[in-house]
Amino acid sequence: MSLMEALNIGSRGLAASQTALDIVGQNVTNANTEGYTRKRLNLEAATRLDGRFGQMGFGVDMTNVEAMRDELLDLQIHQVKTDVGEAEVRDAVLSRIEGIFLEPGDTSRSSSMDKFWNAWQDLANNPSNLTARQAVLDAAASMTDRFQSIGQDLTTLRLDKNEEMVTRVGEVNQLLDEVDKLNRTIALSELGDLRTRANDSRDARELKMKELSGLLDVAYTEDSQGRYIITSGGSLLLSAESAYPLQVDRTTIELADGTEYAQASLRLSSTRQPFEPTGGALKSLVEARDEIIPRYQGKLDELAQRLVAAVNTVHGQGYDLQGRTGSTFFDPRTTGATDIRLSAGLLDKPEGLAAGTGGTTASPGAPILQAVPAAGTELDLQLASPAYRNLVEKSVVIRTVGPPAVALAEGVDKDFVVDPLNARITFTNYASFPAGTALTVDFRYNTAGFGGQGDGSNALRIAQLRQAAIADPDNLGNFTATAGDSWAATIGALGAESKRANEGLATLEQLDSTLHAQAQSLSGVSIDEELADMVRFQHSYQASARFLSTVSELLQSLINL
Amino acid sequence: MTRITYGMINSNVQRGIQDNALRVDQSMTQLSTGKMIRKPSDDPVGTSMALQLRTQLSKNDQYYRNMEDGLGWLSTAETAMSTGNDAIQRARELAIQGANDTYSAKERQYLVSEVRGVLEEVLSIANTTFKGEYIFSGTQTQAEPFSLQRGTDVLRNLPDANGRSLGAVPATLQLFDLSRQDSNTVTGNPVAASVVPGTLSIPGLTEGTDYDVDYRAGSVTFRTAAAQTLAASGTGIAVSYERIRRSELDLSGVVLREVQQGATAQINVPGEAAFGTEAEGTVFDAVIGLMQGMHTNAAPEIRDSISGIDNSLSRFLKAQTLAGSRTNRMQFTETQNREDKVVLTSESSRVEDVDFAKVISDFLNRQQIYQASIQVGSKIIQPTLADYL
Repeated sequence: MSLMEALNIGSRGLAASQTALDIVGQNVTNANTEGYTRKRLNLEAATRLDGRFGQMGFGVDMTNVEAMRDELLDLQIHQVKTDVGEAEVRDAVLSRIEGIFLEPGDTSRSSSMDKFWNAWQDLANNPSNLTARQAVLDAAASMTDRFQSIGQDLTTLRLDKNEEMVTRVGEVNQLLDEVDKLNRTIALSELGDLRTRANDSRDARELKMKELSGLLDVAYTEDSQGRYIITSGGSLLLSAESAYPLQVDRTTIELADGTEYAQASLRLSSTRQPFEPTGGALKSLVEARDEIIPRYQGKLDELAQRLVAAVNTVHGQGYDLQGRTGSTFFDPRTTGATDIRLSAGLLDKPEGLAAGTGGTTASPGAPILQAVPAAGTELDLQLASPAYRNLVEKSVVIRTVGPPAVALAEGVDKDFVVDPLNARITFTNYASFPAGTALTVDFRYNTAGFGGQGDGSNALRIAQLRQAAIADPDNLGNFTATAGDSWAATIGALGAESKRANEGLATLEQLDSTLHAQAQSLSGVSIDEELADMVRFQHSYQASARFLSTVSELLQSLINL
Repeated sequence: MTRITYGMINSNVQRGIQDNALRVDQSMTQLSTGKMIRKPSDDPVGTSMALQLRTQLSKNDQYYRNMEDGLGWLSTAETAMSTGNDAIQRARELAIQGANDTYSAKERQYLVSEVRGVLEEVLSIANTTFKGEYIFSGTQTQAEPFSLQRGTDVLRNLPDANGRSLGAVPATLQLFDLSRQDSNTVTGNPVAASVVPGTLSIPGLTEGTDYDVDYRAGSVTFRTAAAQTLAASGTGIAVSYERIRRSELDLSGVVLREVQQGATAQINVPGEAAFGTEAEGTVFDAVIGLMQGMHTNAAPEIRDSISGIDNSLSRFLKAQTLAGSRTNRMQFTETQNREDKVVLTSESSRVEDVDFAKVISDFLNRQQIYQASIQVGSKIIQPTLADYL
């Protein structure tokens, strides 16, 4: 070996140490950079053939700069990220629903229902008391308000999740685009050569892949030029050449309460086929929108309907302060929680509550013959028979004797008005039906059994619906639970579901952090280690320099010979 | 060997401190709200139970209110009955006094006004109200069960709509109230029974000579030609009177209060049980019988009226006993109700409320761990090799 070669060895040593120190500097300064992978310079002893000894050392060779990354671990991390993303959204939705239901609490729906039943009991105690009657209407209104506000909040939550899905799809498309750009950068700078890894671009791409995994369950392969090809559920999202972003279609859907909303559905731009997310936050968002929230809406709506049906049935059998019967308490057109309300006929009319039990009603048999009385006087049916009093509201039918028999219309601005309690009829249309016109009058009236204004037995029957099975029909259609129990069961199920989601999320987060720690153990920068390396390469730089100066002295000696 | 990096230590310490802070926060929330369950997922089964217990408690309180209200009714009825007792006792004393053969007609006339006082007192007892409701009207609580009403009638020699005519004397005619309508008769005019003695007047005729009156039945027996002449005249015999009218409504309605789940108790004493049916003779009829005896100065009639008064007295006593026994039963149920409330409250508290001793000790424990983790963390994170180079 010539001294010239020895000089060469020394300079290669200097270059290797300096590169190693460069990498230490890069590692230390990026110790806190997210997604940064620690780099290492791989060295190798260089060799040349020697005539006498065979292989001889020829200094040090820098093989490559290696990023300390375990790709299998990355794959695992992506899968867990997908599960975490899915669990996070589900947990958030369920705890939001818990927040909407506000149970258990003093202002919750269940306590407003308790107050509703108690108000009926109070009415049963004081059937003729208008204050007790008003209290029933107030308690009912505050209960329907709770129903409505929960119903509306659930609808709003559902619409929110729909919009959130659209936002998240935007993020997915953005990430696909970024990975696509990084793919190009990596392919260009590596040119298929293993020695020239585009380590920093790969780090950046890995970070994007983690984000993407949280949103969607993605699978990927790397082609020979280092480009990622991404699929999800078997559908191509990113090829080596270009990204195929997800498209959002809007369909207008009418909800049960009449609200219209533009439901978003996904479509693949590669095949134009509909796309169903099979994992990640997107999957949970679809599940929340189409399954979880509608399920609780359904429970709430069904309870509202059952309550309306049960109360209306009993209320319709009762008699109000004027002895009228057959009225509804809740608006019978109620379809669910969002439109449950009191019957329009009861608003500001507490006397219309059917607190009493009726007896029997009868009609005169054949319509009785009467004549239109002179203006200013009334037709008193009690004069025909003293039994005719407490007429059933809207039951009076009056016709002229004819022929033709013309029916008169009831109403203030029509032909006649009725005072049902005293069975008196006032005629208002003498222009069409002058005094003395012969009439037939038919009607229904309360006979025995109408309990009077102090009869609260029907209010008591309604109050007792509290412990009656009116909800949750079994296979045979028999109701199995009281309204309160049915509600408690729903709340219990919600609690269990939310708890399960929460615990599932905690487990996944634990797993995620364990994997993260494992990855950190390999890829993370240890300042101590880097500083030790720094000392090591500093010394080796100094040693190479000393070697060079020694060789130089040798050369000097040779030259001075 | 696992490499431990600065980043790992940092994130581990951070996570540990976060976890500890979360636990401290949980304890703080439990302590400040006093509730173990803030949302269903804190304890799904407990939440279900808590909801059901709350409903139970709310029902229990409502039953208590129902019973308080019922006891109000019952004690009002009891008081009314005992006042009625005193009034009827007074009537009985007056009867014994008036039956005394040494009393003159004039002295008996004085007693009539005293008996009228008793009659009015019993009437006001029958119309006792509780919170604005007539308690002896069954469920017709807005209707006076008995009232004092002025009525008029006209009698003629020709048959009238109510089937009466004064042809030949003596003739006994039933009085009707022509000024009113109700559903008791075909014509709608109510029968004028239970007329108050001393209030019936017929201008032009004299009671005792021209006619006699059966005040309880409300019938007049005409005896003289003067009556016949008057009946045949254009105006007829115009009669006016005061009578005790029983409401024509059905007063037998039962007023109930729910006192336990599925159990109701009757809280009203039906008017007929306390004041008698028309068939057996009401308390008013008994007093009117006494008044009639005094009014017509007939000592045997006064003596006869005592048995009716005794019947009324025993009815009052029976009604009072009935109200008393219902009160006792309801008070017993009420005691049970309050005991149930204690049990339900403690059960509900056990499910929902915080065990302060446990939570406070947990809190102190967690707080210490939290502080320790911060202190140790600050020591671990600091040193690097750079400090020693």
